[in-house]
Amino acid sequence: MKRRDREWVRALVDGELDATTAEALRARARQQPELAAYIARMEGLRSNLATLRGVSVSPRPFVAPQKNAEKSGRWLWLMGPLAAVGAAAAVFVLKPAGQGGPDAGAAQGEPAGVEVRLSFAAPQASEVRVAGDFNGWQPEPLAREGDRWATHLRLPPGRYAYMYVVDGQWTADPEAHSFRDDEFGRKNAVLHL
Amino acid sequence: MVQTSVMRFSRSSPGEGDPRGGQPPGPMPASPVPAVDDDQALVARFQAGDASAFRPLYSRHAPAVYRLALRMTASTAEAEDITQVVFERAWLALDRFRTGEAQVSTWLYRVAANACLDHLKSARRRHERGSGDELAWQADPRLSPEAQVAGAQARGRVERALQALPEKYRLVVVLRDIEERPYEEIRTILQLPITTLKMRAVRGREKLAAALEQGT
Repeated sequence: MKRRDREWVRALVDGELDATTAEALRARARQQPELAAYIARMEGLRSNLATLRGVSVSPRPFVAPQKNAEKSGRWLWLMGPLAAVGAAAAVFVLKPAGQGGPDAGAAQGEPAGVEVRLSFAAPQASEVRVAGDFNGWQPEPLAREGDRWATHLRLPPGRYAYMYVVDGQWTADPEAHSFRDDEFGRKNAVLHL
Repeated sequence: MVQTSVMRFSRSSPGEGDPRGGQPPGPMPASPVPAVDDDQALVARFQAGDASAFRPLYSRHAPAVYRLALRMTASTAEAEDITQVVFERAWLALDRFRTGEAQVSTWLYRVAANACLDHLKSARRRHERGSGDELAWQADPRLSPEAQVAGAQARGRVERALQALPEKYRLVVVLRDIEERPYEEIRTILQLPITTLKMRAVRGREKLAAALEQGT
């Protein structure tokens, strides 16, 4: 097959030829079996490839990166924008590279643990502790980091209710994604891992 | 008043309201969303600091990126990873995107094509490329039941032949014959002259037809 004819057929298959030119090519093909066979092959292939079109897929949820995060890990931001409150907290989950988002965990095997960073901004406080399901509700101190207080935990996947204790005052995380009632008429923040 | 550190990730706009009441800014769902804003408006919002504008961009374009990656790798797991990489790159680079120069979809295809080639090259270097989970099409639970059943065998045959095609031809065939992108757009995606693309389409189709005829 001549290169020029292969290009004509490509243009035909791609719909680039006007009706007159396309008919002229098909008329020539009726005189040239090799050309006719080539056209049939290319049109048949296009039909085969068309079976792969239009498949509806939904990739897993996107986990946005954090610009300054370590390259070996991905930060997953769990909390919303800051509420207008006198203290601010945040929870970050650092997962080892390659594990993907939380939805991918079940498909790729359970991770040994999820590293969590809890942080709470309260520059006026003299002590901030955190208590929750993960430590038997025994308040553990957070370390001061400038205006913030922070700690790192490694926890198995699951749900954990927790509260901060700021200078002795039990305080719900103002940015928690979800809450649940505790047994004292208040709401505990809930961490989902 | 206590101040909190402002992280690049925690973009917020004045109108977002109570974080507990609205949609959380964590993992972004790939479910379709109403096309309230066009892509350019969404990019402008993102560049102005509204991270929530990324969500509809992802919902609109992730399926196409995933499909391209799936056709290039024949592996749902690898396609998932590539899709994540593409949108991570997009997240970090969208500030520099100039809406007048290209469509968002074209730009994302370009990022995706490069990510696919990078991935395949890297996997080859690690000798990790096998035949892929070549029948992933049939096993992918996210496809509709009709899509899983109808023509699965024929699709599997075409898919295997496609995987046997050299990458430079496969990219062109996938973009042109499956994703149905015009050559002008493919030129922008792959940064190649149109004459080169058309020649690759010819050769790629010929190789593919030959592979199918041989029962690959």
